[in-house]
Amino acid sequence: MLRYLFKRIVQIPLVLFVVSLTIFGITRATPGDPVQIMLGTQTSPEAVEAMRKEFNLDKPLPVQYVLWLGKVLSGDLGRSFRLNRPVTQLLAETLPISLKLALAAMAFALLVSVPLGMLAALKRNTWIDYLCTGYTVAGFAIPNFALALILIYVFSIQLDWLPITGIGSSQNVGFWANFAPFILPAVALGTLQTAVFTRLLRGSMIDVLGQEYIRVARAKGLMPTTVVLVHALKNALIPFVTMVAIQFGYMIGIQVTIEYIFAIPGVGSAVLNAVVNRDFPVVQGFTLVVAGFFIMANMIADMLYALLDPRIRY
Amino acid sequence: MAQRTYRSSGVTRRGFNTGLATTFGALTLGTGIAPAIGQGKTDLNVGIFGGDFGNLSPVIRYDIQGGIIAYQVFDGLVSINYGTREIVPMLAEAWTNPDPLTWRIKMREGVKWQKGYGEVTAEDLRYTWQFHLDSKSFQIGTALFPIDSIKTDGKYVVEVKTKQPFGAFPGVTMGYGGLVISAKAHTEMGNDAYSAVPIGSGPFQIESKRGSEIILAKNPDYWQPDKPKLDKVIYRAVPDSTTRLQALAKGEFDFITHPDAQQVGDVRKNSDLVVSSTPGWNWDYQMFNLVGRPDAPFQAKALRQAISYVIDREAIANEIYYGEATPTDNAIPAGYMGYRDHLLKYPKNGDIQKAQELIQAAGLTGYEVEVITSDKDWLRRELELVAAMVSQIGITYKIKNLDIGGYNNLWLNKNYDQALEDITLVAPDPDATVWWFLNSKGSSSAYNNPEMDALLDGARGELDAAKRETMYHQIVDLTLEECPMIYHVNPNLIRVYNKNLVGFEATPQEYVEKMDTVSWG
Repeated sequence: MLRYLFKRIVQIPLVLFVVSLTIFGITRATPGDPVQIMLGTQTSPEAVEAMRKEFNLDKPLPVQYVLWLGKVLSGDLGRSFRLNRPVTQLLAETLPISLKLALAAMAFALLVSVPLGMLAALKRNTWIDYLCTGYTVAGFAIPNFALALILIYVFSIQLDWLPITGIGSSQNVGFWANFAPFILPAVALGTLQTAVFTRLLRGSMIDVLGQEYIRVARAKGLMPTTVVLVHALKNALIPFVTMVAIQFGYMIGIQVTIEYIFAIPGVGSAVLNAVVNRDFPVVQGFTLVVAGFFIMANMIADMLYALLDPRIRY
Repeated sequence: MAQRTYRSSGVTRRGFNTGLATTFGALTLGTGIAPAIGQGKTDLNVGIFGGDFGNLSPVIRYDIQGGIIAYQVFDGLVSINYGTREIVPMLAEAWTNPDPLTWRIKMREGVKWQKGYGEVTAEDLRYTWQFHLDSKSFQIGTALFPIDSIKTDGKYVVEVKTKQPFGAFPGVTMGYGGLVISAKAHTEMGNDAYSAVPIGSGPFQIESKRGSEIILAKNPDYWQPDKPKLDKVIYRAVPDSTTRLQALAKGEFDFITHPDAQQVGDVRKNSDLVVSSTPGWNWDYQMFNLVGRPDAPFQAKALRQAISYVIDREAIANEIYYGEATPTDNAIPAGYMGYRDHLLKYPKNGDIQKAQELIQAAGLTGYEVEVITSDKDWLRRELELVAAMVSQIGITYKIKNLDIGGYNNLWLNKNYDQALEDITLVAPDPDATVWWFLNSKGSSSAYNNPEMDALLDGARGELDAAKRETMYHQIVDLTLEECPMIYHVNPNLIRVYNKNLVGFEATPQEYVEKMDTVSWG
């Protein structure tokens, strides 16, 4: 296990290097000059030239890349062209918000999908199973932005239970004021995952419940709850855990629509603004960090794999 | 002529989203959900468009959102009386030009910088403009380009020498370039720190800045008596227009900007909200690349005129902006020197017969051309509508949507045939609306006409306001005849706010809308 972990950790810099090279290439290949966007149409050639020089954009691409990489290795992700602020500062502001939202959405997805998946498997081919299947089909089918608008209409406008905006506001005082703005975005973001997880857990549970050791456990007279929770669920969770870890990284990446609708100042909005404005350092820095999250999530999934199933050895 | 209706086909995901938003908007915005009653409140929650504020400081170029904040924190040298079209004193108490190349600016005495940085003096103005010149900032191109030298004359007077006579000095240089920074604060804090949380002399000072939220607090030392009336203004950037409106209807905001024009009709039914929709200093226009495409069919003036004749500007105002826009055919909007009328030559509903006659008389036929536009939803729809209009005279527009980076890349490098775009005017002088777009040396121009250049340069150098006005009339007339650009509409600036708010003064330029007169009634 430790050897495997060491190997994976050694691979991280290599993967990040490839990511850095790719994202640098993509940003530079995209048509559009950040200086032109920044300075607008009514500007002088002197101002354009001065800005290009300030941000090293006058240098050849390999030199730009090496300069940027050198900074990254010393912990400096560069400075936003547009906002004139360090990228690390922007990350420190936006990443915690995105992580909180992803955690809230994941908590919602797990709270819904684990009972539903188990129930559907235990009541296979009954109306309960069909109801769960109907829910998962709806979860797959409805786009998160449409769901967000429906949730706002029902829970914010009609019932007046929950706020629409407010995540990240310094005006929020107390636990509820800080927690409430997360509820609707978390549900809108997590619903697709509830569908994914429910289907996965249902299938996995059905497989496990058909195994011989489950029949043995039942034959030994163990309580049905013990059989399901201790013997079946633990093994059924193995593919589930991998999916949860991957989906968590994915959730950070797909928040942008939800951030847009609920006015959440997270990573997605920051990257979107940066892409539109060709703010290369922000796009590069954020991509690198989000890629790091994906790698970490996958590593954690692999480790959990081994913890959940002693037969798995690395 | 009966009003024509044009329909664009195809359902996009964005269109679907807009449709859903509109449906829910219509269901909720016209209802009687009452926003919070304002009695006793001394703060204001404002939802503005966009994902963040960008820069706030006048030493770095700012987006509109950042500009809105900057104008609460900073006072300009001058401001504009939109009713009388006059430039009026603010931090500059008076200004004279003893000779065509000299401007003397007398600063107002007793104005204090926020947070204890002392008095605003002539040295601050000299420092600000010299900083822009030395750092070759964006302001050199936009406003400070005529400046040759700056010096102070005593504590309150600045003398500026210009390289050329510049009639737009009060409007452009002192207007757009007139946000003065504190020399002491800027020197002590450094450019980056000052830019992040600038020290100004305006009615509000920055209390905090976090993510997409900025809290402004009353400047206790503000020089104008009884202003500002509010203790705090909390700005939050909310990118989705429907969310802004719904949050306003729910009471999470008291004031919002840029609602979707399509939803304004429903909002007007809500008696708890006030809609302020006023013509803005911005246009939608078509542009022909007459410099970079010497062999293009649109080099023929008759074809360009025919296109302008076939455009039903009222249909654009109604179908794209739901009536919240003013049809126009020229470059000088109401409130600017040189303004005569919105429509001077081309009928608001177009004239197909005239367009066809022009093409036939010149022995021309229609043509096919690629037209670029940026990815703003309303521009894409407008271009589809315009394509339907020009198809009536045998011209085929092949639409190419680009994000703003890709669009600017083609447009500013003159690597396009035709373009349709919108623009917001930044300086209150016609020089800013026409010179950059029509002079062969202008960075946004794709037109080279010595007669136009002479007129534009002449108007720029003329110091007599009456003579300048006449010259701008000639410039507009020549533009209407030559059609290097075809103007469609001036979209309105729309804000919606709680009915208990009083004192808001709408302007055609949202940068400069201050909240210092606003209070709860």
